[in-house]
Amino acid sequence: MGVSAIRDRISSSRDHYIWEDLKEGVLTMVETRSAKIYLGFLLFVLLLGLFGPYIAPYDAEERLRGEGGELLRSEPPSLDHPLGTTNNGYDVMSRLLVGAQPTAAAGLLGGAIIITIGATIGITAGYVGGWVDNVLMRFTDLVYGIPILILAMVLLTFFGMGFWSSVVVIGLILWRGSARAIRSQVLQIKERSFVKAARATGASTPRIMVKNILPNVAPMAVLFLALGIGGTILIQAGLAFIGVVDPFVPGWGIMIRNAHQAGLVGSNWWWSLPPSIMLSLTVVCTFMFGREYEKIASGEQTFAETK
Amino acid sequence: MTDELLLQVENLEKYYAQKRSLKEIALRKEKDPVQAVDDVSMEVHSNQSIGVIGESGCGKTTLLEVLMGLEPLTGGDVIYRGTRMSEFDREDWLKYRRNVQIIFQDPFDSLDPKQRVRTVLYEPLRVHGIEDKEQRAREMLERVNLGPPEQFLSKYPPQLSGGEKQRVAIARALILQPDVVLADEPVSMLDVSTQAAVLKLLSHLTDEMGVSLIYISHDLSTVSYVCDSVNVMYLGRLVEGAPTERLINEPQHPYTQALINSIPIPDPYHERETIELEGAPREPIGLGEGCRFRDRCPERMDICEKTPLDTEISEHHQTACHLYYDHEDESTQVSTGGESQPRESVPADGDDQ
Repeated sequence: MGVSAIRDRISSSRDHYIWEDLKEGVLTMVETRSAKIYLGFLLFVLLLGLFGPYIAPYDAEERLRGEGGELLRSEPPSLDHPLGTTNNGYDVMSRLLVGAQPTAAAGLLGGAIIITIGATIGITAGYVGGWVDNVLMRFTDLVYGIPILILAMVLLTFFGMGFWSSVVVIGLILWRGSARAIRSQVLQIKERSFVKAARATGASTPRIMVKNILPNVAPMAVLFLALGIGGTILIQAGLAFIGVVDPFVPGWGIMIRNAHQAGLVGSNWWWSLPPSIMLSLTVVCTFMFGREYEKIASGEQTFAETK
Repeated sequence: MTDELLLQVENLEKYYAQKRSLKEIALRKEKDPVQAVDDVSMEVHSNQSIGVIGESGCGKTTLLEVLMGLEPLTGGDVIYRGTRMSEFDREDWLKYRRNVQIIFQDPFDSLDPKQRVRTVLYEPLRVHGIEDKEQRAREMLERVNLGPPEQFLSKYPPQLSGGEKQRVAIARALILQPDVVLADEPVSMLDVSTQAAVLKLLSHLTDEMGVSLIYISHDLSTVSYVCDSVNVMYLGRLVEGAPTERLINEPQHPYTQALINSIPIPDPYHERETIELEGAPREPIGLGEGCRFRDRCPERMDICEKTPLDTEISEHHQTACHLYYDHEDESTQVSTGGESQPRESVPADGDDQ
């Protein structure tokens, strides 16, 4: 590869549509206040996931003892322990900060699996059509018939209650909605004349799928990525609460489960409420952020015009 | 330049099978296909611009899509420089796609909203592995009067006006230096003021670059501006073809006469005889034998139940109408003048001549 080819590649990747879409999209989104709040909260959770363990005031796995050497059981919030302690003497604040990491990681991995499978199947089925479409969509219908919680419980009980395996199981099922929706959008796009023009210049089917179809379903894919992240976090927390997930990965779902198991959800509100609130807010914010993004990106106007 | 036969359309036929309901499949009931394009023949030589006109739904666009290879043909053939489309292999297709390009009707739809003008113009070059993309793109933009090129290369289509978009589409079609460009009503979506400029550009560029043009439209005025010769299409068939001048001044087929007659003249006091056609074209389904125009034709005769042959009236002027050929030496003559059974759908009595 010559120097000019490399330079060409760099410059073409710099004005790649994904990069442009993201940059422009984020810039535009930050102009509406609600989106700013959603994005801000999501960044906050992401930062907690990255740095939570380092800013936690106590070791999340350490049972704390008072001055007299007795366990600090179910201490209400105080200056030393802003969110109190659990019935076993763990600092709730520290556990909440550490718990952001598995929660965020679960969401990102699950969302990535969902959108990768969903977009691949949706675009292939929609654009190629014919028997390929039939096979892929009947397979999607089949996956639609799977009750996710029950399958996940069965699989996890048989193959070990790992944290990551739970996320993968969720991802391997939840792509179904995005595949259907993306396919239906591809069906519309492929009838537009710019796709015909691409075919007329001799572009191959895979090339058109990557260069023309994918960029035009990207806004919807981002929406489904957001929905996937939210869905994965919710279901993963649900599985954790039921108790089929590795209890030693301290996600927020596990925290709620522990509080529930101790029978202290009601009385020790400082223990049960914070993880619940964080979970709900994270999921709501991902959903809403995806919606806002889709609203802007799929509108007929471009980013440049909304500016 | 030499006069070379580039594209030869031979009895081209495109039928679409109609969807059958479950009941019809169960009862093994066949449905007549939609006869979008039927028995169309024409030739495209180098440096020629040919128009095809006809009203909406007559199969113009289908003809174009079949020519472009976007829809498979169901009969007849297209021959490009001696190779038959029905026998094209991968390489032939790539060569064909490099040399035959298309300009679509709707510039708002024919440019990918997610691709910058640069990418739009680079894509054909990338597909065909042509280097010096940057230079070609700039040159092409200047040729379609979008200058300075830097200003347009990094724009997205939604940032361009309708006329600018169509210029980009023209640039995309011409950037591979094709032999033939197919244009599907390229100005019908533009403002009248922009139409003239884009038309002028298109006609100028095809002349300059030695590209042949097949121009499809329902609008005779734009066709006559661009094209050397014009074919008239009615319900999937070509009914008349002649050099533009001749067709306008001496239309022969009754449909062409009505068409020419319907061109508005911007003079409210102008007196002229108008030929008004009654009804609308039929559905192109189950057309069967006979002239396609017979149920609306003011000159209808009994013999119109037979499909008229293409006759050469004078040089380069053909029409498919029973009025214009000698039936004595043809076997097409109806055996007994008045007694041929008229079809129920057709009024039994026409204006015999």
